[in-house]
Amino acid sequence: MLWLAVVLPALPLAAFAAPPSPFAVADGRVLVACDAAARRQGLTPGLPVVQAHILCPALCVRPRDLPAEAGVLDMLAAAALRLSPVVTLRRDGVLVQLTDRVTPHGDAATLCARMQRALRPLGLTGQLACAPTAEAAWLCATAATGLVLTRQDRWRERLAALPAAHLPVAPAIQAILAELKIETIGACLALPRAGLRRRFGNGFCDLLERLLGERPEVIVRWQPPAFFSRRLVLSDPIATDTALIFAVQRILRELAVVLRNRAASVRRFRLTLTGEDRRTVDEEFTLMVPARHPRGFAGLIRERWRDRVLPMAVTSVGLDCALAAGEEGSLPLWPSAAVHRRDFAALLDRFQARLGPDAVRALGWRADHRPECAAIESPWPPPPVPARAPVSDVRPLWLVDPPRRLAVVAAQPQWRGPLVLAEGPERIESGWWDGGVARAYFIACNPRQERLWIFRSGEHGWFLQGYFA
Amino acid sequence: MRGIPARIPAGVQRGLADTARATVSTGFASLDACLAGQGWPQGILTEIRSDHTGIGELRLLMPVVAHLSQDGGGIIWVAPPYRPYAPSLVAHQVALERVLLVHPRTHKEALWAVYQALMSPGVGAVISWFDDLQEREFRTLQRAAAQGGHVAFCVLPSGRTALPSRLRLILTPAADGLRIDFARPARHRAPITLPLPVGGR
Repeated sequence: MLWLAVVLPALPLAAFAAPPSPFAVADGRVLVACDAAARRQGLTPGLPVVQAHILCPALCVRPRDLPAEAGVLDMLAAAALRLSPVVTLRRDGVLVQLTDRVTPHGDAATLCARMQRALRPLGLTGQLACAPTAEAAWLCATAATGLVLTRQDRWRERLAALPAAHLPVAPAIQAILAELKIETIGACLALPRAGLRRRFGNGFCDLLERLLGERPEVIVRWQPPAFFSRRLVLSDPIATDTALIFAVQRILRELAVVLRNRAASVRRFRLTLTGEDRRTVDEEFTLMVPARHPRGFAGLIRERWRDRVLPMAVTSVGLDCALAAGEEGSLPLWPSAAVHRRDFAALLDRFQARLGPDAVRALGWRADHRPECAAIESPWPPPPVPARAPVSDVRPLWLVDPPRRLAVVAAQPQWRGPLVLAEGPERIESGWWDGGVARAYFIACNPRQERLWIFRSGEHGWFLQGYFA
Repeated sequence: MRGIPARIPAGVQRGLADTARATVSTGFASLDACLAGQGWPQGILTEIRSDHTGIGELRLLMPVVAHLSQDGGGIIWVAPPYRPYAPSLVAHQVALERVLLVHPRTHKEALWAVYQALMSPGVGAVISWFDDLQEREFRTLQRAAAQGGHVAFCVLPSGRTALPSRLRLILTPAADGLRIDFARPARHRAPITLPLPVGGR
């Protein structure tokens, strides 16, 4: 068995597409990576951001983007999967298990070269190394030795010759090793284990044993994300949504089996229709809660096409979705809050499928004196609201936004008749930072005994802002 | 035609016989006293007729909306004519995260949305606004309401198509509050006036 390690020393940089130069990535207040231009200016990882800005005023610093880094590692792992089915992720690279026999793909050195070539189109620079144990391969790759060791070589001696400074241990232990003049890994290995374990702790000895392959490795195999993709070619073109649903049902039955077997769930899916003229129409469907059974999918598709006609005669139907891990759980015996939440989410899905995502709105509020800024209407789910209660001034239930200009007859504002001011004025002056308003609000009553919330805005006149409904 | 009694009791013929029904208190003792079952009925589409905006027509519904939303039921507003002012809803103790506004583009979509909301579990109340409703459309919605068993209101301007509703209120302004006439069921019940202060709470 042989392990190929690919270490990305500049992983924090690789997470950013087309960064400016000089460029650095910071974790908190300390740089974690900097590009070549920044290095030339004397910047190194570990430097405080403030100091880096003084050394290099043109420097562009971005905070570390961990999700993007995980995406880069997934991309690397997918590329490595072409060499071997056993790929495991480390914090800044991957380990690939190879066989030490010569395969039709070549020997270890050829596979290393292939991996190196595969990195270039991905826009990555990696340090590669090969060794019979995972820990040794990782150590050689991190130290940028470029070693390709196999069991046929005298790999233990080559490993022993490496400087002890390459060992991935705490700086305190490194300092003690330097003090004791232990300069190579071989010198470490020659010392009695019991004494080492007492002095440096179990972690250090376990590391040495993993280097030599005396301690088993725990491997978590990386799996590519799961997808479901089916395309059904129809013998006769269809032009009605009923026929379309019939065809989709066949795919959905298959999806139900896949979801059950993999214990997976679906968050969103895409329906692709291909017409006789090779045109394709894509329809995206997003679900409020991940579904473990495609029970309501046909209903959602039917709602989407209810008021529209199919744009063409359809010759093939495709359905794609990413499969996510499904949450375990069983339904309760009695209807509970969880069941109600799920039913409510299904209702939202139906609304959005037919009326469009913008037709379903939630309400929220902000601490702002301007009424039109205090009340928010946004697409579902509801926005977070401030923890404290809103100011309990007298406010209407209906808000007219934007405010409606009122006609003025003989200095009296009119809305279905002349308005009589019942209460007020209440001055609201706010928002100097974006436009700003200066208004005097009144509660007014018209001859129909409707209570209105109106305001006068300086020389602009009178406006209707709300109804005390 | 044997077996049919000579005199059919009033109400049976028209399907209006009173049955014990679940209700939710309106939050106003005087209004509760006027309604069968002492509250807004569940499973009946209550018809509210009003030509006025700003006389307390929404404040009338706020107690029941607040109560149902705090119980975790969704409050679905279909085609509201204006934007509800969220801080005021909070002042009326409405749980905002349960409030869902639906803006359909056409009358047909509005009918569909109300129908879906009425039939769906997990919903507390459905409030809908229409310019006009045909009798056939109303009957469909009424059937859905009966099946879903939620508190449901449809707000209409007065004087359009007569609808076969089982509870119809006509709202008009009065000097000291909101005057409510009970148009259906046709019992000789005197109108009441609710004092509704504009402040809420």
